[in-house]
Amino acid sequence: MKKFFFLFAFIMTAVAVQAQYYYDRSKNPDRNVKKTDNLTGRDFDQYFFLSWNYSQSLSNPNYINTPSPLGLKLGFRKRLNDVDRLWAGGDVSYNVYRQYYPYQTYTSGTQSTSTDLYNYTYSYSVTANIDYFFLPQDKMIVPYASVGLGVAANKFARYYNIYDGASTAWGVQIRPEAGLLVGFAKNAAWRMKAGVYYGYASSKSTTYGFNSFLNMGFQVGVVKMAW
Amino acid sequence: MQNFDVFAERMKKSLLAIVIAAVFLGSCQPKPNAGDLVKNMVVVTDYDNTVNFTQYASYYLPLDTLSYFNSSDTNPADTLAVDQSGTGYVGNITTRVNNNMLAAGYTKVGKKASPDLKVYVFIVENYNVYQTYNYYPYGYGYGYGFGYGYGYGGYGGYGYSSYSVSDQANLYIEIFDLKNKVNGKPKLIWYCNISDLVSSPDQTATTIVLKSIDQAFKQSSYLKK
Repeated sequence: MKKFFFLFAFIMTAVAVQAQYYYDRSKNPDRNVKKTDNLTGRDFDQYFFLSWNYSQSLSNPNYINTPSPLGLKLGFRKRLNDVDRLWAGGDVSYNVYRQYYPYQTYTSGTQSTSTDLYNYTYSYSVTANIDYFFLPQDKMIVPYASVGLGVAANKFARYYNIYDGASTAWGVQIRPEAGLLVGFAKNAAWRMKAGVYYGYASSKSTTYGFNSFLNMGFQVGVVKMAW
Repeated sequence: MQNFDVFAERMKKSLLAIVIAAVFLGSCQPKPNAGDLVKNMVVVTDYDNTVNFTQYASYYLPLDTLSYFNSSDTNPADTLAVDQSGTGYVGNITTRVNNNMLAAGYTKVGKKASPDLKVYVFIVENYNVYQTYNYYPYGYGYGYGFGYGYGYGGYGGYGYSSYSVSDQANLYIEIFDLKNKVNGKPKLIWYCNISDLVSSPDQTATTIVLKSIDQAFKQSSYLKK
């Protein structure tokens, strides 16, 4: 019985060690490890990011012409080829632009209206993206160029006293972007993302007389590399 | 045990994703602070541009009463708010309207002294349907059956597609021409709508309401003797 117990304990320990061995994916013998894994053994083929957007509305300056720090973008990318350059994925983002107009009188025909008012533009977009990285992902600084194509929803709203009016316009979103992924070590799992972008949305609001929505801005965010 | 660890890891990631999504979505439609929105009132004025306001000399305006229409009033016949002291909510409003009429060069007279104009001041609360407004002559308007709401053409060329209005109250000031009646009825020649009284921090009509009345006359520079 004692021999059986020791044999059983030995087998279980061996299985546990083996399981732990395979649980560490970097040591998995079935895994096709690329040359980029020399330093850490991690072959990242996807990443997620959350970035903060600071942007300026370029269209309809009589409506809103002040820059906005209210913006976020969530994104995901998956590597498309083995040379680490072409990645594809999607972004979900929003920007909110707002401007206060002090109390003044607006006259149209025989009617005059005095009020102060707040103009808002809520800009939402969902895009499919293609990124091209100019260096392999195991470098500390990796520059990239990207383009996103998708759907935009722009809600133009005005608030004054207890009243509000809004118009939502849908359109095609095109957003070229360029930037850097910066790791704190080579082939780092966590990185910083910084980039500039230009956005065009064909959102047309007949209510407000807007034909499109353009914006430009920069983003800073956190990237989590994964495999 | 390993399955549990994988499950726990997935749960942690899902929870993190939910938290991030909640923050992401929750912060994407901010609105102006409600207190900031009601610091000033909306003042709308309109007039009959066929009228020459210098032709009038006198007006009639009761200072101790104004009409008050509230959709939730249990007694529909009760449409008067009375302020015999002249220093309460009603008195503050009518006195300020009176001061502006005097400043415009008109003379206040009694009802029986054949005034050229009648100044009618009333408050409407809790009517939330669109108002159809025109300049066809009609009576003094006691017991108005129409509802009130908002549909201004827009500011600076912009329009509006939707409105969300809950409990509200509007102060209306109307001036009727008693000198040139049409079909025997006074003719409405000037109109003012001030809102919102309910949400305003000025619940005693001593600051913002009075400032708004002044604004109504200020933006109606044609309204003078």
